[in-house]
Amino acid sequence: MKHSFTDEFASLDSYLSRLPVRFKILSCLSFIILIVLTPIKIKFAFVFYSLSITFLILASRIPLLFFLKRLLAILPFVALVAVSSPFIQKDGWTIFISCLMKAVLIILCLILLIQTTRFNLLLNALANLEVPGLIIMLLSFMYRYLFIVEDEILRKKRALDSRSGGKRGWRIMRSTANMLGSLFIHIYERAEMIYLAMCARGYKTNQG
Amino acid sequence: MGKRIIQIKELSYSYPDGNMALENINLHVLEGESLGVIGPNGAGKTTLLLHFNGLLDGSSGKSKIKILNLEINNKNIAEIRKAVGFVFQDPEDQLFMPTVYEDVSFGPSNLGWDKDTIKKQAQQALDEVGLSDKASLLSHHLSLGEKKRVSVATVLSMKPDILVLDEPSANLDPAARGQLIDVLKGLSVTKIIAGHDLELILELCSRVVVLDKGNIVADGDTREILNDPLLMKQHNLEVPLSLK
Repeated sequence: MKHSFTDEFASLDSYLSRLPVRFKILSCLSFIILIVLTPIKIKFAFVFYSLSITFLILASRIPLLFFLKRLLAILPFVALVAVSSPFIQKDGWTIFISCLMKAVLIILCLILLIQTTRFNLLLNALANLEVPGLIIMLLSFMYRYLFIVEDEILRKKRALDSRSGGKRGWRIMRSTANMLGSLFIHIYERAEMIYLAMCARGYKTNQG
Repeated sequence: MGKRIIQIKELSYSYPDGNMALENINLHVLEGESLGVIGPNGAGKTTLLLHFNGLLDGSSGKSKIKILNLEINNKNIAEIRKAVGFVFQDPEDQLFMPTVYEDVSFGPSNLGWDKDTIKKQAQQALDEVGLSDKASLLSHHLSLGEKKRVSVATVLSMKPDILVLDEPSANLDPAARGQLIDVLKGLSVTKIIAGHDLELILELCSRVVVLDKGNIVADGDTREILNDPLLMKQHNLEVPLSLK
């Protein structure tokens, strides 16, 4: 089974994907800081930000629907955090809208960065920018093992479906819970093995 | 055949849950030798292998393990792990870095070599397993056979004296298995290979030990042992087809 769902469009050739990675990281970061610091009252600034992001999205040649899907996946979390403000603050609604607006712009910006850069290049660039080695290693493991865990979930789900006699959803809740439990144990054991594999090749805990 | 490169005396090991995995193991491996470790499931093969580079600590009580004349302790562990290349059964455990090249250079970079040497060794190791064109690929895009060969390269890049392989041919298709055997045949280092693929053991190893319930029950010439139907049957094994 093969997937590449974290940076599936990274190999797409576009003007953005050819830019130096460090430049992309730094400009993305500056843009995010700028968005966060701009007061919502300055409307033309947000019009400008939105137009720039739209332009970059079009230049990336990544399907628009993809951005929309990712956005919808993350936005509920933002909304959950922002939803209390209209009830407890005077300018509640403005704060709520400002929160959502800024979050949308920032999320789009990050999706653009991740989808136009191969993940390992992104990590190399972060390392060059003096991000601590331990964090880089954590990120690289996360990237490497997301696929494997997803495969494992898929395999277990198929095994469950094939023996659950057509039952679905809450009717197989108990088995699903058991499946998740065994998945956690499996992942824990794998982590142990990986640590052994690292030690076997001379890794020492205090480095990084 | 040269000197004793691995010496194990009275090694016993029980897992934290009290399960006795190895009992009074005495074993030596000569330099340049290829040793097969066979036995039924749960015989303790992997547990024994994990002792070869100090991943499990069996140095309690009377037991003694010496690798290249070095006892396994905190002072020697770095040198021992450099000398012993361990290839895990599941390549997904072995390959933990995003790209093939990063994985192959992980070991050398832990040895504190300079950048040029690391690059040269990594390249050479990939050449040895015939995958030098895959260096920039992401590990999860490789086939299982390729992953297995990259796993071997990740330890070859550390220039080990001893290569330890746990079930190297597990789940491989015949072609990938053949390629792996060719790669292993071409390596002149001391090899210890555990597994159920007795044809592979027969092809690669001159000596074999049979492990059952944590004990070594036979130790000797591969052909002689694998050709002993009674011994094989007693320990849930089978005489390989090519010897029948």
